[in-house]
Amino acid sequence: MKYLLFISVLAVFLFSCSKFEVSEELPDIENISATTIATNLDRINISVDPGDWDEMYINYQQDIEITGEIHYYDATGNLQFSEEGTLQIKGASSTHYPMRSIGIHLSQGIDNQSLKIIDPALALNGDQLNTISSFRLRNSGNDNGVTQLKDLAYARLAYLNHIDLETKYGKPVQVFVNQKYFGLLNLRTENDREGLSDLIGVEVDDITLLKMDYPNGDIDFREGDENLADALITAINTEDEHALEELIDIPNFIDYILFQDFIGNMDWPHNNVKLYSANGSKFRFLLYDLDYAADKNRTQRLPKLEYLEDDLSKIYQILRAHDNGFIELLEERQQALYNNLSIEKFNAIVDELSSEIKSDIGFLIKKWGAPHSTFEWSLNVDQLKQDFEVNDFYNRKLYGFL
Amino acid sequence: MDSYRKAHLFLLLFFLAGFQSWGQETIERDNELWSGISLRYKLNKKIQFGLDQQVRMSQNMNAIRSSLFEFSARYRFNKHFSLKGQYRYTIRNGNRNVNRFTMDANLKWKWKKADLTFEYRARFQHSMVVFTGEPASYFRNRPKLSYYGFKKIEPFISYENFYKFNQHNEFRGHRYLLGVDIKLNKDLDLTLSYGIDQETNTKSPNSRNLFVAVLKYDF
Repeated sequence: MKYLLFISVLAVFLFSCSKFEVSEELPDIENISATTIATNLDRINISVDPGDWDEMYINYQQDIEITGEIHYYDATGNLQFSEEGTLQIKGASSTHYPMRSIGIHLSQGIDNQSLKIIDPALALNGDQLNTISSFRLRNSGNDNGVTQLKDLAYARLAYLNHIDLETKYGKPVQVFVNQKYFGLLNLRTENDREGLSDLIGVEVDDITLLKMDYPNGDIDFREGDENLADALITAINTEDEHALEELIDIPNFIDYILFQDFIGNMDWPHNNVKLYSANGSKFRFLLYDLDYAADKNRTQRLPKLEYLEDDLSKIYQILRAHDNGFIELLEERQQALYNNLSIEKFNAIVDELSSEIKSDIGFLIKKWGAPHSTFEWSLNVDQLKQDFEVNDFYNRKLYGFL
Repeated sequence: MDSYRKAHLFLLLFFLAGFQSWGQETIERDNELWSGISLRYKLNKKIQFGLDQQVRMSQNMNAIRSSLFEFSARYRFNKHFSLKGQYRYTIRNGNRNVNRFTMDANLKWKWKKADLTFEYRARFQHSMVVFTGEPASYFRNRPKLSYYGFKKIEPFISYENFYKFNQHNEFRGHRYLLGVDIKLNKDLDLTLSYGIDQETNTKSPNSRNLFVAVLKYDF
């Protein structure tokens, strides 16, 4: 009996230590091009001097800008446009991944109304998507090699549900460089001045952009009207609630912080904060880089804004302390948000995106080795949905919406 | 002048100096009333347990700011030195309730000739707002001088500073207190005191007058 027990325990131990191997047939990536790849996704080929590309790609932290030609093909391989443009490696910590994000500025904006690179029907109120003159081919940030769709899924959740904010629209595309397979990336609209100019239909020079300086938490002037930016920074530093109410689009600010809280973005508010003003109008906040959403549960962001010391939290604290209807509006919109958003809606977005790229994951595995297998990728997608569900449960419990 | 008289004169001057400096302040202060009861049970000569309840009113005593419950256990090593641990739960408006833990090291020395007691309390305090998770850790120093020469009353004066951690590492407040312990009977004391809480090193430092009344019962 003793021996039998010993052998059973040993067997369990040996099985638990064994690695689960998945073998799958991966697609050929050597003999394909943007027109011949077997995919249902749009494709992009970047024609560029190989030496320039290598220099930019290897020295990815040096902000090297190169020129090239962008050829855009639809899902059937038909050329949609060819345009010269400048290219630059983009991102912060995610630039360390072998497959990096590429920012592209076209020399001439393309007519998105007719080409429908990003479906204009998706545009939120106030957004236009008529022209696209810059975009980013994003590696999904810190979700690179995991689900490849997380950031896009969370952004879609915002814009498909008409949250009052600006975000980066996007879709997955297959990318080639000099007709050699590069990777499966997400084409995203930009949130720099050029991208915003396209998005909201105003001149680039009329946009004032501020960004939070990571890690010190100060909102700093970037481009545009410096006096306007100074007025906002002064209002924060002097805790002038009247000036803040004059300078900030309060409903947008509320929807922005509520959504970031709803999705449990761990990389916020100390980071990834951008706001803009168009023609001196009230500052609005931009939603982007959501790849750390729901990374941990029970770490709701909204309560933390009451004591964190970054400038965004300070704005919240000032408006809350001099409550001029702010708290009531916040609670009202929070209730509406929780009524509007649901696990089912998020899962539907994830299911749609994952079915779009499922048959393309093999190319990514073959090229970059991450994820390791389509099976692992499927588990990651399930985990993404599970994380959302757990986060949603704890949020609703905390705020009394269960 | 003998040492006894000197001590009394010193105490009087100390009180007056304190009052004068407070009188010169032109800061507008809120008036707060802290009232409560304190039950103490002495298990033996070394160990004492305590249970406290207090209600604190602010906005010139027109609104309840908080209500707190506290459990404490003290261990007395000798007549000069004791340690005390406390847990406090504070109910505050807007569901911003607070959990607080403190550990005190107390030193006590009696100057029998002058009927004076000198006490020093070093307190480490850590609290957390339940809803927001906001942590706050302080180191507090409180010297206290009291006179036990009267039969029924024991006047005291104390000063306390609050040193804040949590990436700040700076003094954040001072508390001045002047009061009297009144012996109502063998087991029952009433402590009445007036004090000033003064914030420091903040953008708009608050200041408040404290009026404290606590009934203490010893089992």
